[in-house]
Amino acid sequence: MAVGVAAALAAPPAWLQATLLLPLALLLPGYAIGAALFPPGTLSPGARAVQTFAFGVAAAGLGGLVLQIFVGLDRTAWVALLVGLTLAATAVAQRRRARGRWGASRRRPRFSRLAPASALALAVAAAVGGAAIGVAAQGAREQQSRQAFVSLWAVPAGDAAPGSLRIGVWNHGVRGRLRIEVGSEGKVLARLPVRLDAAGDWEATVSLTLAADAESVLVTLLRNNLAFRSVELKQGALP
Amino acid sequence: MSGLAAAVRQRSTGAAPTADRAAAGGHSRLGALPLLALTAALGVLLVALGNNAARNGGGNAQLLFWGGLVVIYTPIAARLLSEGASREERLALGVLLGLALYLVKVVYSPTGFTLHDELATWRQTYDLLETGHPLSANPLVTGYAGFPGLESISAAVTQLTGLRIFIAGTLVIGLARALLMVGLFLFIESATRSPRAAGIGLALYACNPSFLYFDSQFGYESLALTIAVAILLLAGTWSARRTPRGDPNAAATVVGMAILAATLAITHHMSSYAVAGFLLLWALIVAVTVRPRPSWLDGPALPGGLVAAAGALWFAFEASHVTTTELGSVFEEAAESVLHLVTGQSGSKQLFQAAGQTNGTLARALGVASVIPLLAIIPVGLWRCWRGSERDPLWRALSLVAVFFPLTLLLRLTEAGTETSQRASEFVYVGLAFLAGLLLGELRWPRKGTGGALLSGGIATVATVVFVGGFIIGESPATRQPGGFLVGGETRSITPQGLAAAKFAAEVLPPGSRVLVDRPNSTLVSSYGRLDRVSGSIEGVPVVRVFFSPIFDTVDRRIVSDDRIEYIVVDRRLSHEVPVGGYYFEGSEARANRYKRPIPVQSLRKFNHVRGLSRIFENRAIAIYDTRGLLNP
Repeated sequence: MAVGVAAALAAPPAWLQATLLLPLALLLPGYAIGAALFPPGTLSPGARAVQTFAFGVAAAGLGGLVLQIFVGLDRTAWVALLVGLTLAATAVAQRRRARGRWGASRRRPRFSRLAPASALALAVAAAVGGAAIGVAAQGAREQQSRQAFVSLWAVPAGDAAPGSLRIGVWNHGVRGRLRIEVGSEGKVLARLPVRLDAAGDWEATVSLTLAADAESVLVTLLRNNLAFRSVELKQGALP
Repeated sequence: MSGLAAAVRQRSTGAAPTADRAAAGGHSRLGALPLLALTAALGVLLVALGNNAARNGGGNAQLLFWGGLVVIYTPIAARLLSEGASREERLALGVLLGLALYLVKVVYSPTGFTLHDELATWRQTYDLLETGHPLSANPLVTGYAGFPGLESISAAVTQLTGLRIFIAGTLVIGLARALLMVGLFLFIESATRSPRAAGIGLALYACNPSFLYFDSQFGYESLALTIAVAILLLAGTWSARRTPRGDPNAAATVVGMAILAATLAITHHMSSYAVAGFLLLWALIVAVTVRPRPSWLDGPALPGGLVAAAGALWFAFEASHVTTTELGSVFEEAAESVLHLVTGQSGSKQLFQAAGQTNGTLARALGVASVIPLLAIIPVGLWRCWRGSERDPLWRALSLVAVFFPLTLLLRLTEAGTETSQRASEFVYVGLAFLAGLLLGELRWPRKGTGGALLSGGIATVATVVFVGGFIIGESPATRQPGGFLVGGETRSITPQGLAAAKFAAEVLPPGSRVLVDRPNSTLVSSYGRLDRVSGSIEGVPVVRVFFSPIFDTVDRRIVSDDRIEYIVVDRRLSHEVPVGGYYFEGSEARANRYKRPIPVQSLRKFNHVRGLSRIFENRAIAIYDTRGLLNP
């Protein structure tokens, strides 16, 4: 657990962080609480596994509910909560074991020794299962990539840039030369080239000087010089 | 020895099969597990390939999909039914079955959540991560605001490991699924004293219509089932103590049960109420039938009381509003539709059909055939449990749970009752699983000749029909596999265009803005987009009228301004076809489940010409309108 705590407080690579801290999040608090409440011999291994998970949910759920009254549940709070519960429960478990007043007999879990062929079969099964997920993910991504479209949006830039318009183009597989035209009352106020790959996001803020009686601003995305998409801001939403 | 413990000891042990005796002697084996793990993994791969074919419109999509399911289920079920497996192998096979079927759900949507409840939980978890406090209001599922168990553990995993919510949630629910199978096995084994019965029970439990998708989703019920089983295990241990007065661990066990009761109460309302109800039913049977009558502290009444008290306290102090809002409407609609059906005010729902999506003849036959064996075991099981020599109160309580199964079938005759039936199945099937395990576990297979193989094969075939038919009953044809876009098709309506709109909402619009949107896109803009969906009615007028009116009139303006709707999301694809799920926006919309024609395209294009409505987002399929010009003219 010390390694996990150190990992929680430091900033290791993501894969290492996940590997070290997943037990802290999912297993250790529940196991410690289970050990404190049910000393050796009082639960079968299978029951202990189930209770470990359930008490782990209890630690996060109930512990989190109580702790959030005092502090917000950020990373430090979670580490403190789960480590604290684990240590406290471990202390209780050790104290109860030292007293040793149990009537149930001790039963050690027995695990079958795996033959090499069996171990290989299980490993291959795990690999095939993982491959299935990979195949499915690839299929989902391919389906999404087949839908080519562009999203155009425009909103007032707000206090950050009064009188300006924030414009965005998000490309999802469309090819061609793109550019933006901003117009109002029949006049083109701005032209902007959009340098964008077939998959990518582009954004710009453009300052506009609108006529006093301007009722709308039209932002048009042209593709190969032809109007492709447009958005229109009207009274109430003009920059 | 207490009367209760004596009743427990009367459970028939029977003659343990050879493999079980070997297991009892400590010589456990994994038997066919490695081979069946290979076949199960192959089955998952076939399902994944079938889903990819469905995405591409391939003709062999269904063959691969259903073939994969059978390859996963049937060999494991056959082995669990057989006499040759050791206890260790049966337990491992149960976990393998649960995990393999969980992976079927994972390969359905392997890159992100797509189910409505999953995205609602995603939003709840995200809000906890952002604010540091649970119990925030949820615009998609009202009840989530009062039950923070799942998002708490998911947020802890996300915060500590840096994993995305999707990965963290998938891991949490996967672990919950594996341990649910372990817990159910132990519970049924403890009740029947037979690992074989326990394994058979798991094979039947996997046939419940919700097992494949609904109970595998990133939703609070999926987690609650495991906690519920953990409580049942402790309650069983508590009730089976031979010398209650001399139990040195009594106090700690009570503390453990209290902790889990509280955990279940804050995780899922119905699971908490169902467990409390079951334990108190069991306690009632104990009080009425066991002599000498044991102290109520020594039996299931104590854990039942703890669960009931925890549920009641949580309801009273925190969750009353969200619980009554969510459950009240579900039960009210179900009761109303059943009443209408019984009194002849309305006809029954068309079975195996949903808004134009229809099951083929074979699917219908399998669906009907799947319930026959289940209905058959109920009277036999009742006789066994109530007239047999064991007189075990737990057996009797479980048999009464199974009696609810025909009632859930009746509910499926109504539109509104279908949802209640679906949600009840994960509880009712615990009773059915017990009865199946009890009855089939006592069957002795012919050891020599082809008789045993034929019997085993025959029952495995029946089990497969029950499994496949259960899935057919529980899932619409439109959503069993992924595929092309369908209007109102829940997961089939989650598209890149909708994700782009949600991304725009998240990155550009103020979080918590009130938005009017159709149901599938609402799951995206209210989860990833962090907006708050508006629904229901204002001054008696349904807010969705805004979409259906041919022109944007004064009533629509008043709806927008009075309900402070800040954005309107219009999916123009709604005009392409009638909604597969029966409705576009809400189940209560006027023509829900009765659409003959799609919403007119003019009704969706009218927003472009409304003074005061600014079209601020456009990707051809979806447009988003800013209503500031209407709210602040």
